[in-house]
Amino acid sequence: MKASAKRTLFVAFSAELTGYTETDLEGTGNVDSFLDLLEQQAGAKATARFYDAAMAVLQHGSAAARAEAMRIDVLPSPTVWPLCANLIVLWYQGYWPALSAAWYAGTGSAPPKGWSATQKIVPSAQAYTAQLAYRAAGAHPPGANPTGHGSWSIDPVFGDDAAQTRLSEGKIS
Amino acid sequence: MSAPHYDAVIVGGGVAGALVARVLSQAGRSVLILEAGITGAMNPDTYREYLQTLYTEGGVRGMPNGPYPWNAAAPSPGIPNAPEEYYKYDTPMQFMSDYLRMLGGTTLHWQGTSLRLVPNDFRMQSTYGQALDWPITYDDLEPAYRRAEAELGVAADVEDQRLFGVWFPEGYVYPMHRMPQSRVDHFFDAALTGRSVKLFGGNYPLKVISIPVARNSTPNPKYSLGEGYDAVPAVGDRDQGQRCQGNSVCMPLCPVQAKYTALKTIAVLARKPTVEIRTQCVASKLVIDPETGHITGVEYKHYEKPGGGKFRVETAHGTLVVLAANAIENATLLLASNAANSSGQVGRNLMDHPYLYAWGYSPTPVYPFRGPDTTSGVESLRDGRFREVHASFRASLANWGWSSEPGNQISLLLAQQTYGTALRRQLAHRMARMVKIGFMFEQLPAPTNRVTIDPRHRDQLGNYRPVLSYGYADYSLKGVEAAVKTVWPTITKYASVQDETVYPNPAPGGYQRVTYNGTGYNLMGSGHIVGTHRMGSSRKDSVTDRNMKAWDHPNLYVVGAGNQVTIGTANPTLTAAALSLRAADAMLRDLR
Repeated sequence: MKASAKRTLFVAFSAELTGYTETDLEGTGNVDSFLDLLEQQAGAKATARFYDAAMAVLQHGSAAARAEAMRIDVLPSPTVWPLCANLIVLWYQGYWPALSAAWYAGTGSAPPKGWSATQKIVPSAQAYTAQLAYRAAGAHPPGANPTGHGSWSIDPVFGDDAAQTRLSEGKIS
Repeated sequence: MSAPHYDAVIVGGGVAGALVARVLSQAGRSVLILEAGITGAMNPDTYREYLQTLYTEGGVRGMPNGPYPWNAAAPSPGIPNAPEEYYKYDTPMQFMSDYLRMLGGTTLHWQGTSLRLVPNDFRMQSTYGQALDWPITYDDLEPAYRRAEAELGVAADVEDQRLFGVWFPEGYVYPMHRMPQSRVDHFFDAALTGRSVKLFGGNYPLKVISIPVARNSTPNPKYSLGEGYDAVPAVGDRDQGQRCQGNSVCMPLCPVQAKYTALKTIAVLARKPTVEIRTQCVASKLVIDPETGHITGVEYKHYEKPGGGKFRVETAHGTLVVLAANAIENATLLLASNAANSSGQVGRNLMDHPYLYAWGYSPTPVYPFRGPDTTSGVESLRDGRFREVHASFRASLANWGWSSEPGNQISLLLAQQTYGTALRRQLAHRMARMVKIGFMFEQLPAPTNRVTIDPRHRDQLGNYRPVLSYGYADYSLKGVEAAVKTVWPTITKYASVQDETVYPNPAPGGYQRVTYNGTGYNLMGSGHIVGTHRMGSSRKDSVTDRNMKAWDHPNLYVVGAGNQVTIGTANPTLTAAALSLRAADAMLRDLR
């Protein structure tokens, strides 16, 4: 796969996994460093399987069909789902939790140099400052992107109207 | 050449030492400050490095000493990734609070809460038959509180703070208006206004009020009879920090320095010709004249490189010697010097506020994770007849949801293989409704809660490390029980909060498991280290007199939160600052 096609696929599948748009993800400035980190931590073989699964999901036009493809090709996969979960943590919280020893054994690849089971890799300060978890709730990462004096007294400003609508109803599951 | 002689040698470059130096230098007196730690955060570039560490090292977030480096020459407790824990223990129960040995001291990581003690905190024995009375009253300390509020730059409205007999002179306003209250505060205020809780036969209103904080808000033009107040900006950058801008990370450091730190006072001192500040100088012993009891010198170890290694032993000389090194370090230094201890009270009566969280989901979004850590509290349980039998407490409303990171919720959702829009929606739904209350309990002075030294436990420079004995008495735990079994359920009922509180056993890291009346609780410390060299009316049961001069030495002052006789329910820094200013006045009289 050409680098540019891989990048496009990475962003599109990240959007599917995170629920943020491709524009949101590009806006973090973290696409390229996260793409590199995935390959570096997972190795070429598993990364290839990750992209195969991504293509299998994204070939479908409807959300329902993509969800079905996720259910069949991704969620049960002991290789691909842990990578997806890690990418979600990376986008949402700005760090990559170490893949388990069992994951490496299962995929037949060696852990990267310096690997330890409890490691949390923060690829850059920007990974932290552009994390998406707080943004989901109209907040911001502690210590970065402050919202201005007194802003905490009023409802937050959301990037998209849908987010606020989603918050207004429903029961906590 | 003889060594220079100062009017005062001050041990410790934190808030207490800096304020004493400020008063003495304003009167033209010469001062030497010996700081055990490094210059560190005083340098704006280093300050920014610490902020970068906060971003890039996830493990340090949420820890009071998070981004600050381990220093083997002057170790601090609670440094992440330290090669060893600094404290040693004589008891299985640990002391969960830390401090920072660096220029600026623990104010680098404090949260800025600046409540005054209430009058009955000063007279616990005469009012409630508990502990003992201070040698001074609220009325005695009131003028110093106002000065401390000016030095620290406190934002609050007087009308909110008049409770339990706390009074202010007519026309007084705080330097700055109160911090804007959060959406979380508004939610609890609406739910609890007019509600009350029954404790020990009394009815206590659950009124939400704003909390005084040493954090830049809008200056009050009425301050000081209309002179107004200039918010003090960041050290080294006047364009930054003039208002709290909502970075939501007061601890371990405010990125823009909108929060007061002693660095702001030290920056003023550093420009004074009569003040000398020496960092990397660890006081190790007071030299005592055996005839007169005078402190003739402060022996200190001056290490060359941050982190330790080679050092020289030097001695500083002053007409007065002032220990302002934090309650635990003051005690170890006095014990190491066999000083000021004819009462046997040095190091005893170590107190903190045992801290307990309760949490849940609000019925409607309150949008936490924004603003300063706390802007309001339920303060109506800080005093009352119940103190005859159990601790008073504050209920601090948390603005940062259940914790500083939403990671647990993401883990739970990923464990269910929730992803995409559903993940985003559910996470947002939970985060936007997270409410948490921090209950902070009074602890009584106990001779067995103490700091000692042991020749077997020394640091790299050969100085004594603190050996702690610590535990919680029933008085505090009964307060914990009242908070968890009576107050919290009352709040959740009126606020329709879905209670999610659990105290897992064993307690997670940073918490301590305590069982009382068959119920287990996980307690934290508050970082409010108090009481190890208390003041008193008699040399028999106290270390210093009412002006914080050691009973046993005519030229030794011991200042800071260690002077407090009781802890009450006020976060101690403002009181430590007020006491230090009061002590400095007495020093000026001595020097006259």
